[in-house]
Amino acid sequence: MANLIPVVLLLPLLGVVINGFFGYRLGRRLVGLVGTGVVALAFLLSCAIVYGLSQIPNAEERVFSVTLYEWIGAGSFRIPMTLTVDALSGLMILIVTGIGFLIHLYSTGYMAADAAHAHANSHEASDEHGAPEPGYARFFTYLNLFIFSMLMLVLGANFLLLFVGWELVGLCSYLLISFWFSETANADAGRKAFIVNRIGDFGFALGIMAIFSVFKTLDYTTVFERAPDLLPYGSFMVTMITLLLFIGAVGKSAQIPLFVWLPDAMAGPTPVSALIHAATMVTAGVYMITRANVLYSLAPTTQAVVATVGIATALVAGFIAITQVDIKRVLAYSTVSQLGLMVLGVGVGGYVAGMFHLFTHAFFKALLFLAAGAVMHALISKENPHGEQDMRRMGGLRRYIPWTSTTFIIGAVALAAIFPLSGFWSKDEILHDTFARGGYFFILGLLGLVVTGFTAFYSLRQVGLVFFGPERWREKPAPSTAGHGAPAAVPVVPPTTAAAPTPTVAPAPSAPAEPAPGEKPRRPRPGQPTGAVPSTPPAAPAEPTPPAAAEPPAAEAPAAGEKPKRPRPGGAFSAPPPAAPSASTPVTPPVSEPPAAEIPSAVAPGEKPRRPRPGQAIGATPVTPSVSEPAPAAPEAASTTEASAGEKPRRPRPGQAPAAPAAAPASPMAPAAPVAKESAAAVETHAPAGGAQEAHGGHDDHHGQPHESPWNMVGPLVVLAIGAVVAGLAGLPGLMPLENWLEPIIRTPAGAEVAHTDISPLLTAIISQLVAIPAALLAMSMYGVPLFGIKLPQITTPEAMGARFRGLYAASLGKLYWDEAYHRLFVVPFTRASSWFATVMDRGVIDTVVNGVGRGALNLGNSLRRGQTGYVRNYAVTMLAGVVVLLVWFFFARR
Amino acid sequence: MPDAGMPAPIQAYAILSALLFCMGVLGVLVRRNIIIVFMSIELMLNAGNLLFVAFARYQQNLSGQVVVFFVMTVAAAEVAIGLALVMALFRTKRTTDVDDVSMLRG
Repeated sequence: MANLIPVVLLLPLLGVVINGFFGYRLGRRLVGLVGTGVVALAFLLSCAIVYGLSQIPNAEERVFSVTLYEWIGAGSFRIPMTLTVDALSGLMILIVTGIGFLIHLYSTGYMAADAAHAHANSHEASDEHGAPEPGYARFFTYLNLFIFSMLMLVLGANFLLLFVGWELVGLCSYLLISFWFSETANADAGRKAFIVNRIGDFGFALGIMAIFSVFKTLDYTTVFERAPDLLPYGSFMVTMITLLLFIGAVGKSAQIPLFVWLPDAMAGPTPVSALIHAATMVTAGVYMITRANVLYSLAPTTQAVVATVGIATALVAGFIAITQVDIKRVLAYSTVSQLGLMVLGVGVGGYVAGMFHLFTHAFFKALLFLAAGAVMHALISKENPHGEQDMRRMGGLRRYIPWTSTTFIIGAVALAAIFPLSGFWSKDEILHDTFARGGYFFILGLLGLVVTGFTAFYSLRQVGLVFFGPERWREKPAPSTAGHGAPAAVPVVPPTTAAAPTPTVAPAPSAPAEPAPGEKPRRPRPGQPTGAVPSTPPAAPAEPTPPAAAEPPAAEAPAAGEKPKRPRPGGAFSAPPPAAPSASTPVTPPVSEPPAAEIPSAVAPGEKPRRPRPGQAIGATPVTPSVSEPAPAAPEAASTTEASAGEKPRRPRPGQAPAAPAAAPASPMAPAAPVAKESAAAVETHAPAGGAQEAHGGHDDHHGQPHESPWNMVGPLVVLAIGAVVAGLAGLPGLMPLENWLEPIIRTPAGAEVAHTDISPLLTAIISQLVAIPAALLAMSMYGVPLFGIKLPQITTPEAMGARFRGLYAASLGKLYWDEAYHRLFVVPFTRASSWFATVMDRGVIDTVVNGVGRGALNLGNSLRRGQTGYVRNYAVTMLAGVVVLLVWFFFARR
Repeated sequence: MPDAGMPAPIQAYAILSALLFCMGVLGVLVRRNIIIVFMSIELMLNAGNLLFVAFARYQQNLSGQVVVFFVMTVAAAEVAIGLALVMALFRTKRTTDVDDVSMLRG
């Protein structure tokens, strides 16, 4: 059985070799088959191995180990290439290959669609008939490499092999996140992931060296067996080792302060996000801590640090996730948050709980990401070749993509930890272990309950925004260049940086634009789809807009009095869609809406959204582009002809922005309205300018029906959904198969601090449900998610909530300005220091010295040259003089 | 033993040797003909030899005399090489003037 282990490891590598070297010659079908096939085989073999493992009666002996060769041998430093499958790595290889396989299968469908659409912008040539296509093969090469790396990480039997895998997944994440590297934002995101991970890896490498200095070996078995003898409980050395190792985990598992790379990591194709977030990379940290649980149990200080970092991450990320509008970004922050919980679990000594949550999370998070990918896929359009990602442009999709939506909802409910889905069991176990540890950890447990509430809320909010409510995708979006790239680029731009309350103040159309300055505010255009000319009352535009736009936030109150343009932080979410015939009564008074709505639509054809530039965006507070954005363009748009529809995107010019806002809405509005209609219509006919994409029918028009994905995408969703429902059984109280299974791995050393408060698991379960269910119901009520087909009364609206908690809302939307803080704290000083070193130090000092030495040698040689006459007699005289000097010297010195 | 009177004092040998040596030095420094320069070098060597022999005798110590043989041997070797160089020089440059051979100046 042990002989199969290297096969499992090498199968994905085989895929890498085949697809990497020959992939572009194989057809798309064959590439997908090879890529998926090797992982499927690896999964089957893993099943066989783990089954074989479980057949060994004595749990302590459940280890398969095979030494292939000695990798490094230098004196006493010996690293054998040993692969081990025990209970822990057995579980991990099942997750990695199992979930990995489903993601591969899904990718065959997803990337094919991407290939068909993306190529107008991409330089990877392809033709529609599945001819050689480097991008597709490249993708599967990377995916297989990722699986290989992760297997390496979990199968290695010593810390150095773990480190090899550790670095390899970092590399793969870089390759995959910046897969669509032709867009700067994606390449930046890839680099960010790589660099941030390097910081963590630095600590990790130091930790490994510290282990070697103590144990003189890196072999797991030896280290863990001798740890209690060599490292006294709570000693400085063990604390240092575990803290250093934890720094590595902080990087890989995206904890504070190194979590910033993970939300950006969704710049990659969606299956990559699923792979990174669910099955591979981010689980590495939790796996490592569980693997080294003996060491961690010996270091109570580290445990407290780990648990604190975990819960802080969970809270922060959960808080941010609440207001994000990008479908993948919500999931990304949710992953960070859930990872925080796992780290909390392993931090309090609940290693099984942490692994359990990792296990269930792998299912539902992979499911959520893949389903999100399917949603994006369903909304693929010319403007968004990689699919729509903005939830404000979704809604009501339940009817069109039933499979996707059902599976997504299952995943979301599992994530929300609602009984009896899998998330409930694992999250509860973590909470229980935290409470049970007592003391300081009890407080962390209470915070964990808050996280539970956050999670339930944003999960269901997402469901509501995407699958229920008005069909906002019908609205004609402004031609947008912002594919998948835009959201990725935005992260660092808190639109509200300049004026936090702006979102709540701006007139309706501006509000939705706030979160993503680069995006086109798209608003329902009343009557437009039906062809009726908008009944824009002439008076109306003048009335509501000017005050709001022209005046500072404070002035909003009076305006709100008459025409309730209620502050709409989440404005877009519940935007009344007069277009949708079936729409329920709009939340906001429609009267104020139409005129306001005109602005963006008028702008749309003339001015394309300028893609936010990450570089420019960072820190440099944009001049609240959203407010000003539509305005300056408005007059222009009014005169827009068909030709201008094809205009190139323009970048917002800070200088130009502030000028117009006051004037624009007021005056040119009324005349603009009809013209805008026309030009919008013109866009519609002219839009297919990117002719290359036309080949792919069906998606051409944004008005086309969203469609269900092909079987190879839906299939994995269904399997994962089943997993998300039943995975909780692995930790069923009383049965605890997972706990029994992992028992031989968890060795609590004598004297270590363990749970000392006796608390009933049932109690924590009930309490957490008391938090989760109301939070979920609140979200369902706010975002119109029916409960078993019954529509819940809307107790409050997102706008109202956003207005009430204005500061919190802005903070969450701005992602707590984490990136900005880093920018100020690290990037700016670092850049300054670099440029100082470049100019003063390098060019000034070092260059002077180096050049001076060269020039000096030259000058010296030049002057010495004159002494060399070539006349023998001169040399003879010199010699004579020398002799005389020597003689004189001897004469006097010898005296 | 036929006595030629008082042996010359050691100072006389030393002065003679110094004179010979200075002649050699001057010859090397001022003469341009390479053959003469060569001979001047020989003169210096022999000035040294004279002093060796004189002191060997004066101190009743044979080692001085032995050194002279070494010097003569070395001088013979040097002459062999030196004359060969002079020949080569003359064949290529058609001159024996050392000042005409200053190609190695800096």
